[in-house]
Amino acid sequence: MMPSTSSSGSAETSHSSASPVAKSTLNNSVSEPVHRLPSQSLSSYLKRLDAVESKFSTHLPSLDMIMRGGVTRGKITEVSGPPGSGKTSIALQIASLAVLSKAKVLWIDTASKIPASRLLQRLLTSISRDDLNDRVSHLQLTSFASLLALFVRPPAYLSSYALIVIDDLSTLTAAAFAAVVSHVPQPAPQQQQFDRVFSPDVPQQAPASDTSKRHKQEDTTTKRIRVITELVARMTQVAERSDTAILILTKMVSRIGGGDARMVSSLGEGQHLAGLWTRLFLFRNDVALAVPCSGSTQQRSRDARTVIVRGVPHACAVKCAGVNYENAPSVGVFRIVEDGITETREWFDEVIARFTSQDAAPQSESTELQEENAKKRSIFVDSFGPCPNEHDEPSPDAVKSTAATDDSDRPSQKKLKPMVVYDSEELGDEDFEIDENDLL
Amino acid sequence: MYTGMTDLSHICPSFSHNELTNSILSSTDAANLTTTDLLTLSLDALAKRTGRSVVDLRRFLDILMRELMPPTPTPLLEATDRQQFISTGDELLDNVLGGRGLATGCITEFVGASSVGKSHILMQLCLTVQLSLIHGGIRRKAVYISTESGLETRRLNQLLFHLRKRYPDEVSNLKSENVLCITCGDLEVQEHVIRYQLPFLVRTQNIGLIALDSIASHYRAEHGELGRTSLYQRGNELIQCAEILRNLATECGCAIAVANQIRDQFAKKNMTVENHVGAATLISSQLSQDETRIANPFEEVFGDDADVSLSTDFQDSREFEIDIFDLDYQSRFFSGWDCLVAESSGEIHELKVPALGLIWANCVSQRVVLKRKVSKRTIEVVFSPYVTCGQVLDYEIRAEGFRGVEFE
Repeated sequence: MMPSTSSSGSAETSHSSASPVAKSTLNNSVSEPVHRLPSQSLSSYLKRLDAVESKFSTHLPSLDMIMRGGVTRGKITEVSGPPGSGKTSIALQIASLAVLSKAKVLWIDTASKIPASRLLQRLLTSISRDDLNDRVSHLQLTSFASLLALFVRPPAYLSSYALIVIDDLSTLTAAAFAAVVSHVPQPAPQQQQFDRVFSPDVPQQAPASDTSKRHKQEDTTTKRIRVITELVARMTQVAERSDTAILILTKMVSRIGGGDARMVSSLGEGQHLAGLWTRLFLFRNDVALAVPCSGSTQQRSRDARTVIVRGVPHACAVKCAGVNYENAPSVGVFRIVEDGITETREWFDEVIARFTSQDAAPQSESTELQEENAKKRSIFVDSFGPCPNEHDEPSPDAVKSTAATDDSDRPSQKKLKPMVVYDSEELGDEDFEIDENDLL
Repeated sequence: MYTGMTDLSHICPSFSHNELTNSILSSTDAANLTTTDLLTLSLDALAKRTGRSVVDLRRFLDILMRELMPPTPTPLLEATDRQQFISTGDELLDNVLGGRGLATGCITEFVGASSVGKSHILMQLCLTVQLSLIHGGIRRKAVYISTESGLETRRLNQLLFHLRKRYPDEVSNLKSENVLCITCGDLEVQEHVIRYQLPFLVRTQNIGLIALDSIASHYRAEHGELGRTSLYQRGNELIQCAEILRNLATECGCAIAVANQIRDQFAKKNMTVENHVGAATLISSQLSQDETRIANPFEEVFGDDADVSLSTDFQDSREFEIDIFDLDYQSRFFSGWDCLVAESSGEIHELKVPALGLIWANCVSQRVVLKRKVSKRTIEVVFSPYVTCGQVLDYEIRAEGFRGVEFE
């Protein structure tokens, strides 16, 4: 359960696994909770954190680099993203690799069940069914309260896992807070303040008839923050005590700032998330690949075409190893495959190879036309049909052959899109959790 | 709806009531505390709010924790071997959905314009769910909740006829009586049905599929005003509705198929492709110098010509940047319609977006989009935990139902 000591091999302070037992035998009660983790020098602690064994990597250089090694044991990592961005796939990858390195994994589902067939493909070739059953356990939670109970009074078995995956947390929090809101009594008309943005948090006095003290109804935002802070604190305790890595998947909600709706993690933003060690935001974007045309080298700039691969999954680390990188997150790309995720290099190479073999632009055209064609080529490249000037809807066989190829995205229409650095300066002053999208 | 601790009966129906718990519950009810509050507030704060002693509260919390604690985790294969799938009746269509058909235990959304075939596919599923396991069904009944025009029984019977012809040994299983139909005239009825009638039906009638056609119509009709209040309320109602459906699906192992409408999306002026022509797209060009170049897998491919090939054409648009997490921009990738495809190609593409917004998109586990262009119909999975590769399948609606069309 505990990682081996750091690779330096010097006589470091004993790591935490020995000490709780030592402590409790001293106190003669094995079941007593550990109140204080043993002291160790800062350098040995940091060394241990950096050690390879204390991280669950994705085996993808791009992602491991932006996460500084992977999901760290004893810490909480959040992976957030819109639907279909690859959260479950990344978690499957990390979990299956962890299992292969003999770690025990607990997968907690809240909405749909883990797509086991995707996990098993890779695993059952290397380990037996019994081993798999030993190492991976599954739990289905349907309420936020039960998740809280699990971490507030952690049962003994929880500490035996090296990795806990929660897929996903937003389902539980959304349901819990939606129910809360619906029972807040509507304010009497004279209490409505018309200039305030609506939030169901108008302070409401408790009905005078009951004997309890008057209590100002806590508004939803404050409550949300308080509850999430508490959950993160409890999870941190569990993680630190048993050196367990906790990987939380969350969905994104929209926030309105400055007139535009943008997506943020459903956990929110702010100080209450200080307990999260690493935060990865997933998104999709188009990626431009410059394809050298087979042709004269002098005119390469004109003849180079750009193939746009649409909807490539990206991940950016807005927080890594405890440090915020919101203004300049590092970004990695990956590709979603059946048993998890994989690198994009092969895939892009293939795409480029496919287009390099196509003919260069005919030399007989006039320069303006050539430039215009170059521009068109860079915008609309039909992925399978004949190149340049046809930018109509792709023929049916072009669409069909997506199934036959390895491309996991839909390259039927290629569009040139900027790859934009995540810029947090646009966050507005006010946070509303409303779908601006629906104002039409 | 819920007040105070009555959410406990919803979360933990088997909570044991005794004298102590009842009296504490009445105090917490009076103080408007929810279960979440009880678990996260400190004992002192709780004592202050309820006026009860810390000792009593601690004892109550012990009982509460015990009841709320989830069961011991099961080994993975035991848990997932029970996952079932419902075939759509067509092999190609099943492949598109992930290989075996519609997954049980989660909510699947079928979204598309009107008369594209959403109700049709729901009807087809209502029949195939009755088949036995070897033919892809799960031998259970279906309930069809209609919020629009009601179930088209004539078409259902036609589908039934063809299905029986196809599987003659299943004639005793396939009956139109096994499809229970409920029509909801307005939102209140719809909520009542989902909250109260549906759980009862599912538990007593061996229901394997809940088809809801469509989720959006009443929400859009009744929350017509654009005020933030109603949007917020609508969001919360949707989340609660999804929670009930999801819990039913998990508890009883049934599949939930929900049809959704679409609405128009007006592209913002800076979202057209033209504005973005040539803006820097290489990952490496965005990273600062000391950032690792690992995130750029294209570096080697371009070699020296990287800047040359792009800079001449694309210099001017380099200043323009959009926020990558802009909702409209990202929703291209999970709405099912790539809105930015539209203008540049000269054709008039539709800019559509599923109704009910991101909140609803977060409630569903899988989204399947159906499109129709003149006579060509396509179906595609936009996102799903079971599907990696989004194939687009052409299909036809024939007398016997959906038929995927394969191209050589």
